[in-house]
Amino acid sequence: MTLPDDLFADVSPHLVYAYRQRAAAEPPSELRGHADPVRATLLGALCLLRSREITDGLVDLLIGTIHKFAPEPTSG
Amino acid sequence: MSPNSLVCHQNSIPSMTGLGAPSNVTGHKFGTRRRSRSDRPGCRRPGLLAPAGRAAREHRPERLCEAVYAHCRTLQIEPPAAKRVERVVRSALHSYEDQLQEQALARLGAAGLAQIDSLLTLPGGQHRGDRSRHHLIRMTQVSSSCATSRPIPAGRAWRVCCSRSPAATHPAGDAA
Repeated sequence: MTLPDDLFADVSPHLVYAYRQRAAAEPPSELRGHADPVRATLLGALCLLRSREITDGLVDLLIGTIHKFAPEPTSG
Repeated sequence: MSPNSLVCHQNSIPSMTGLGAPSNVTGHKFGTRRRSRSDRPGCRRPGLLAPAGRAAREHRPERLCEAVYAHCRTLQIEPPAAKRVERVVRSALHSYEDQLQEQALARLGAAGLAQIDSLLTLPGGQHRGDRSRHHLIRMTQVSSSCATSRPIPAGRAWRVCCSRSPAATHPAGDAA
């Protein structure tokens, strides 16, 4: 799934996070009952922030893996 | 006669009681003038909320209220009542959210909306979440059919109860 880069370009991150929390709290049956603009905004915010969270998690995992396999620095 | 001078003239006229309206007293004390029809928030909403555009994007009503009061001080007009300012701010935020949602839908497009809707639908045509909802409804019916006021024990307490009364069965086991 591809989201446009400028979906919430000029919107406060605080407001996008509020939409993401609202979408995460609502069951799918209620999300389907929303109008198209509301549904697009809620699920767009959810997908956008979830993709960022997954990316952050993968990067953290990669950094942890690199630190695990990296040789310990020798003193002197 | 200019509208401003007319407003000042109206402010200078005392009321029939000789005390004047509270707004007139405030106007004399702080040098503000009474709001006219052209100063109504509905008429001057773009000007009234234009300095608060950033606050609207930040979606903080208290900062937007402060911006409204600051704009009224700039124009040297008496601000509306607190409840009215709150209504104006809530209306502006609601309009902003509507505009934002329409903008998000336009940027997403029909293809993006179809992709998002596909997240809510299983490949077989069944809606995602319906199975868990039906299960929840079934569990609610089972729990309501259990005419007992005692809490249902679980774990070790339930095994103790079963050892004392072998005929007892767990309601959840009946549902399963």
